[in-house]
Amino acid sequence: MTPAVEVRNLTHYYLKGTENQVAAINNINLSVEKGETLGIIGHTGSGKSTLIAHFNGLLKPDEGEVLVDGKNIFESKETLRQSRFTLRQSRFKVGLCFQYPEYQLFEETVYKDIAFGPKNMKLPQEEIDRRVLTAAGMAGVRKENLEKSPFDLSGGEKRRAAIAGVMSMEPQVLVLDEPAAGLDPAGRRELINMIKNYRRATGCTVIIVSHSMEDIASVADRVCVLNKAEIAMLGTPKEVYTRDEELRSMGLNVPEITRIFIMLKKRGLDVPADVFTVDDAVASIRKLSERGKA
Amino acid sequence: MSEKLIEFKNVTYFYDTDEDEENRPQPSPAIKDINIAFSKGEFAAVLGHNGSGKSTLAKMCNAILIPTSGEVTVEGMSTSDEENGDLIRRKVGMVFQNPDNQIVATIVEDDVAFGPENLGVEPTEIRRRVDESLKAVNMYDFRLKQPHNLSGGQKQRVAIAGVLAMRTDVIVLDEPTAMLDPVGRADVLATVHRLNRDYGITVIMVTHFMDEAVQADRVIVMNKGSIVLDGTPEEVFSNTAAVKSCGLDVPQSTEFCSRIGIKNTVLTAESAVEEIMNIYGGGAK
Amino acid sequence: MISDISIGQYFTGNSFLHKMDARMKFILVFALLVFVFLCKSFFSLALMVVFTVFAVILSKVPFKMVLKSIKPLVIIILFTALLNIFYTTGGTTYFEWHSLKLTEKGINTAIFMAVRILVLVVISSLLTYTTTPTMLTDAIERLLSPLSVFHIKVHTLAMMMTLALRFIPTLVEEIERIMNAQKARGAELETGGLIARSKALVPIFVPLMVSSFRRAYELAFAMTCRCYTGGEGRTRMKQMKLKPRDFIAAVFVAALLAGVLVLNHFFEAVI
Repeated sequence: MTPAVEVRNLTHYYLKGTENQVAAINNINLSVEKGETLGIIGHTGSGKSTLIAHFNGLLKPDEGEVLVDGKNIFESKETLRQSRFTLRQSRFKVGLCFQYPEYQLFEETVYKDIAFGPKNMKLPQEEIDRRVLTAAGMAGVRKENLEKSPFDLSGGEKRRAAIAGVMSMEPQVLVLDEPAAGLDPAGRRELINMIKNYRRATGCTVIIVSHSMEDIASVADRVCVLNKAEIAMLGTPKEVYTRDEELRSMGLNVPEITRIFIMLKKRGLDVPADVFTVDDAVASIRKLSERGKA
Repeated sequence: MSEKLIEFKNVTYFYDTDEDEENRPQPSPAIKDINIAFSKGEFAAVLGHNGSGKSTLAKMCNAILIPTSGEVTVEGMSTSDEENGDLIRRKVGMVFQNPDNQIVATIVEDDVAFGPENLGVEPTEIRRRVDESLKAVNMYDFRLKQPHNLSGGQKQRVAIAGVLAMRTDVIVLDEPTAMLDPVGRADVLATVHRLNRDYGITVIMVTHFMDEAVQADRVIVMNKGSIVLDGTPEEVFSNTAAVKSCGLDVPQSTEFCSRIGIKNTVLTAESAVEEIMNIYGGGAK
Repeated sequence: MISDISIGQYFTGNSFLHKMDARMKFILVFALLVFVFLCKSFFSLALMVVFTVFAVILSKVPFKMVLKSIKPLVIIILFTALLNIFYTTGGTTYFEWHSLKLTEKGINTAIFMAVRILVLVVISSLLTYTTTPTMLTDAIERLLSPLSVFHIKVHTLAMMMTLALRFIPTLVEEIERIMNAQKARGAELETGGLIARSKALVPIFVPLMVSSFRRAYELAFAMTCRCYTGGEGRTRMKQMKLKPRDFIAAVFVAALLAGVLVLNHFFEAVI
C-alpha cells in the first residue's frame, strides 16, 4: 500500500546561506501508513515543527523529497497545490493544525471560521454546511456556540473550534502540533479522547506532535523520536518507551508510571517494563500478587 | 514560619461585565468568600482547572486586582487602599504565563534592571543586583543577549531574575511553566525552589501540573472560586476523589499506590518503588 | 524565514566606538552627516572617505557587515549616479546621443554623489552597529529631555520606542505563524488581483490585532507589577557619563571639519 506521507532523505537548513547555517532536520526518512496514528516527540528545537511543515509544502526541502499519497509534492506548482487540496476529489490531503491554533480564529462567527477552509476549497454551499456541522460535532464544538463570535469562547472551546476548522477540510492526513499545550488535565483528556474518536470515525491518518509522552502513549500506534535534527528512535510505544535513559538524555520524560515499572524490573521484580497507564500498572501488580499466593 | 504575610479575609471577586447587556445572566464570582493566609518562607502551590479562580487569586496578592468585597492584606497593608499599591508591589513580585509579554527591554540585563530602576535604586546597586539575580537564575552568561533569541524557559528565568532584582519578599507565579517544554519546565521549577530555599523567598505558584505541586510545602486546590483542599501534598493528594472531582489529576504514583492498596501518601516514583519492593520484593528472589 | 531579521543590527563588540557615550555618538554622527554635505571638492570628500574607513576599522565591525548595509541601497545609488550623469553637463563632451550628453562634469558629479551617499550610509550604520537599540533610545531620551520644558513627554516617547523595538521580532514571528496557519487552511495569499489580495489579508490581520491587544494588556499588567509608574523617580542602571574618549572623538571630528573647509577652499568645487 502507498504510504499516506513519506519523506526521503529530507534535509532542511535554518539560516541557509549564512555562516550560521544549521540543519533543522537532517536526512530524515519516514513513512506514515494510511490509517495509522504516529506520534512525533522531541524537545524544542529538535526539528519537529520543521518536519511537519514539509508535509503540506509550507516549507520546501533543501534536499530530499516529500511524497504525499505516492506523489512528490514539489514536482510542480500543481502538485504542491494538490498536496493541500485536489479540486476534483474535493479532498484535502494534509491538514496541518499548528500549536495554539486558537490564534488563527478571525471570522465573525465560529460557524464561518470553521467554514473558511471548505470555502477556500470552493465547495458547494450544501457541502460546506455538512462539513462544518460534522467537524464541529467531532471536535466537540457545542451547537449553541456556532453562531457566537470565536473571541467570546473559553480557551478550551476556542481550541476545539480551531481544530474543527482544520477537520472541516476532511484531510486524508491530520497533523496536530501540540494540540493539548496549555490545557489543564481535564481539557487534555478531553482533547486526547476527541482525537481518538476522530480517528475511529474517519479512519484517517493522524500525526501528533507533542512533548508529552503520556498523551502520545495513549493514542499512537508508532512513535518517532527526533533528537538533534535526526530520527533517534522509531517504533511502537513499547519499543520506544522502554529506552528511558536514552530518552531522558534527550530531554524527554517517560510517563511516571512507566518509570516506576522500569525501576521495579531493575530491582528484580517480575513485572513488564512497558506499562503506560495506571490501569495497566494496577493489573500487572494484581497478577504479581496472585502468582505470589499460588 | 507562622508569620502571616498575605491574608485573604472573606474575599469575593466579580469580573466587570458590560452593564448594558441586560440579557446576560448574573455572572458568578471568580472568587467566592475566600479566607486564606500565606506565611513567610513557605512554598505554596495553587492548583485548579482553567477558570477555577486560581489566577484571580494570584493577581489579588499584589493589588493588580482589588477584591469586590472582603479584604486582602500584605504585611497588614490593605490592597483596597490605592495608596498602598506600589508599596505592596515592592514586596510581592509576579511572573506571568507568557514569557514574551512580560519582557520590556531589548537586552536581557536591561530588562532585569527595569524593576529596580522604577524603584529609584542607585545605579551601582542596580548593577550589583542585576548581576546577582542573573547568576541566581543561571542566566548570567546570557546577560547581553536579546530576549527574542532565548528559549521559553530562559525567558521565564529572566522574568524571575527581574522580580528578584526588586528584592521582593514574595514571588507569585501564574502558571509559569504552561507554555514550556519539559526541559524548560524543569529549569524554571528548580530555579524557583532554589530561591525559596536559599533566599527564603515566599513562593506562591499557580499551576495545573501535579508533579510541580508535589514538591511544594503546601497545596491549595481551588474549584469554582472556592478553596476545596488545603494542606501538605500528602494530605491533599491522598484525597484522590476530591482532587479528581475538581477536574485535576493526582500524581500517577499516588493513584497507583492507593489503587493497589499500599497507602495513599506516596508522591514520587522513587518512593512508590520502595513501597512496592517492601511488599513484593521479598518474593522476587 | 522572515523572523531572521535582526533589529537595530547591533554588532556585539568592545571597540573604541562601542565604548563611546551614545549621546556623543549621536551628536557626532549628526555633525558628520552635515559635513558630508559641506564637502564641495573631491579632496574634502576624499578626506571624509578616509575618515569613514578609519572609523570602520576602529569599530572592528567586519567590512562584510558594512557592505551588507550598503546592499539594499545599491539601486538608489546607481539611480542617483545615472540621473547626475545625464542631467549635469559641462566640460568636455565624451559622447552624445539625441538629447543625452555624457560630459566630464556629468561623470564627476555622478561619482561625487555616489560616494557621498555611500559615506552617509556607512557613517549612520556605524552608529547602529556599535550602539544597542536600548542605548540609542536612551540617548534620544536624554538628548531630548530639555524638551520636557514644553510639556513634551520625552520619557513616554522613549519608552514607546523601546517597547516597539522589543516587540517587532515577536510580532514578525507571530505574523509568520498566522500566515502559515491560514495557508494550511487553503488561504491563497500570493495570487489574485489587488482586491482579492487585500481581502486575503483579513484572516491575518484580525488574529494579529487580537493577539497584539492581548500582548499589550498583559504587558501593561507586567509593567505595573514591576512598579512602573512613568518616568518620575526612575533611576538608570547604565549611567551615561562623558569620558575622555568622547572628548577625543569630538576634537577629532572638529579637526575633520576644519580639514573639510580648508580643502573646500583650496580646491575646485565639483558641485
